[in-house]
Amino acid sequence: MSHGADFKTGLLGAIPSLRAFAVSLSHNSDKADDLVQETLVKAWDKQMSFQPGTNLKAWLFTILRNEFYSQMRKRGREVQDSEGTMTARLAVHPSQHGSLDLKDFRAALERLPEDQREAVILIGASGFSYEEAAEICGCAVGTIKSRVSRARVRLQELLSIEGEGDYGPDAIAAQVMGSGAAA
Amino acid sequence: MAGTGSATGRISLEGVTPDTVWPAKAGVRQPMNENETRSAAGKPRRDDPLGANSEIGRKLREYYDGLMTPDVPDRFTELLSKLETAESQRKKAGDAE
Repeated sequence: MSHGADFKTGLLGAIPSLRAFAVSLSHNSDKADDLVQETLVKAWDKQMSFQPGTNLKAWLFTILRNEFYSQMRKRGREVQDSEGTMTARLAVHPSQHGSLDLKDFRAALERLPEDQREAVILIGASGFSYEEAAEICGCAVGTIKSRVSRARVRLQELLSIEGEGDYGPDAIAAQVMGSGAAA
Repeated sequence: MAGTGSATGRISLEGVTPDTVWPAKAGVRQPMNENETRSAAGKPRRDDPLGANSEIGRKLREYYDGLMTPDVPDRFTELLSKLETAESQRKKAGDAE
């Protein structure tokens, strides 16, 4: 009995995060809330498969993400190409000085290939570890690392951020990635 | 906040050492949970490419925090109540058999 009540409380608590993640995937708040609704129904139906004490938020994000991609497939919409060829052509007008406008940032984020965007959001914003993000996306930890790295390089390019990519880890990571280290 | 470290167009080099190669090599510890990752906001971390020293990391959190609204729309609380009611009715029906 109390398991069910705990589960419901857990779902309620996760709703703000789920909505944020859903908006970041779908770029549309109506679609996002439909996605969250579908996620809650699915989660409720398979609550017996959730192990209490494990990460409920990660479990729910996995369901939401699967739901998002299966809806995309049903609609026959193509997931953006992961090489981001469109991205290269659609450069965001860079802000003049160091501090970025949030609107520019959002626009740049939306131009990232789907897989890179979700990786960078899970790691950089939702607060998941690389291991958790890999589980949510159903891929290897190294793949998540590589996507985050490419996303970051791409965002820097789109936003013409100076400094971050000039030296240190970024320059090296870019070289490593450029030589085709990981998929 | 936005100006920290970027006033000169450069990020702070504090805490950056030659083994700050990212992605991290095997054996370099990765963040294991949310709290640990969050604590990066205060301190530069060697293995956190989206941490406090990163303009992109900061913008990413700003963007995402803007999407996080604390209030839960009624449609979701109502949905969960419905699911709960339906389940307890199913259970009752099961017990009656």
